[in-house]
Amino acid sequence: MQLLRFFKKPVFWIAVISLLLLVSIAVTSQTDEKSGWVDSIISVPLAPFQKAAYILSSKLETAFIYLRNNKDAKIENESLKEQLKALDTEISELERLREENKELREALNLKLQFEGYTVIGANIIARNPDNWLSTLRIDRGTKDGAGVDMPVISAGRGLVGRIVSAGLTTSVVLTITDIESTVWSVLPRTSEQGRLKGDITLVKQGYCKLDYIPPEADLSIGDVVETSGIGGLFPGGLLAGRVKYIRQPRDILSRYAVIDPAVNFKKIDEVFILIPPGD
Amino acid sequence: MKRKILFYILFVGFIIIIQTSFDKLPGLFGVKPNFVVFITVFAAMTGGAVEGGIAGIVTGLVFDVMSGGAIGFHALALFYTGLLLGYLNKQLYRDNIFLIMSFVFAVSIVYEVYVYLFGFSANGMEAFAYALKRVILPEAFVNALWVLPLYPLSVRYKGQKKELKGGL
Repeated sequence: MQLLRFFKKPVFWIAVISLLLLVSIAVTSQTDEKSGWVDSIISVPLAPFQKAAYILSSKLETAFIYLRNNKDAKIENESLKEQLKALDTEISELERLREENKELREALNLKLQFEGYTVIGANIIARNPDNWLSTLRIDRGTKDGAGVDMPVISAGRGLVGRIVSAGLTTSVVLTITDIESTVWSVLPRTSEQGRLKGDITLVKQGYCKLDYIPPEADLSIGDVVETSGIGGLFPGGLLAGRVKYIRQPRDILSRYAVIDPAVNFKKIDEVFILIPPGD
Repeated sequence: MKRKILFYILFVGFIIIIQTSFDKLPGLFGVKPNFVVFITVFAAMTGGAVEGGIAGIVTGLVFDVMSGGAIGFHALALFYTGLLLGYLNKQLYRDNIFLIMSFVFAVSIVYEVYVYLFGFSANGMEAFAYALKRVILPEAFVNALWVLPLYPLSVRYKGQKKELKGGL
């Protein structure tokens, strides 16, 4: 009877719930365990709405830019404004077509560049939910062949990141600027290697950090950084970014480079998943 | 009860969509508000500790799945947030908007410090100082500001609840 009364106490339920959540954290912090059906239960019904909201947010962004431009243009002559607007529309349409053409050409080339890998295209339908993460949700999941730890790239061969969670129809991509991301990289000019890592002080600017650079390494601003292929997650030769500037807080051992990623994660709307042979 | 569950399902779904889809829009002070904290605060303010705790777990679990991280990490923080806020609300709540803004400000700081300490503390104290200055405090401030337009909605919801109870 006393035991029954104990079960009815709030403290018992608080302890049970806390324990269950702690067990869940322990189990799902192992990479492979957090994908699958749990993700699918929530992400499948949400995906179409997220896609619609994402398109809406893109349209709103365009409207914001338009409003800002329009405010400045009021100073100019009305007829010139009309002419410019017509030209702008024409140019942006041509730009769009050129970009689309370039992306499609590059997408076709991708298949040749990564022999053995199956390349599938995906659209971004949502972005990082808080101010800490740098993640993207894409509209491809396990039913399309996507899986945890698969590399994700842009049409221009730029490294986006890797899949960290895969549901039935959608997946979460951890970008290279995220604090939890680590990519072993190489500077092709000097063949020096380093660790490309997301950094809390750089993530908001869209940059990441290259550390573990050998003291004798020759490093210059503008140097290209590519994946080295070490670790097995990413194939070698994927363009990660360029050296933006070099910092040396204390001694040569603490030297690191700030990397400007090849991909602008705020602007990108389409990515490609590299499915390794055998998956 | 069914209406309340349906309301929360729609509310959580709507907030998650907003939170994950509007990253392209300009944020205030370089951060975006954390509406996920809002659901828990809203539930605790209008329904008490139990409702706050349950809303915290559900919202946190959805958020965990959407972020691709360990499932339960945010749920645990929001569960305790809901419980504590519901309890404090019972003791202190006097329908004062500035008191609620202070609650939201404090809760946001505690919640984000938890996220940093258990999620990213490997980055060290220097990074924590940066995170506090550039993420945690601005976000807490922005969250508190969002109480201004959202508070009338919670008052209306609470009023409707009282009416429903009175009618029964």
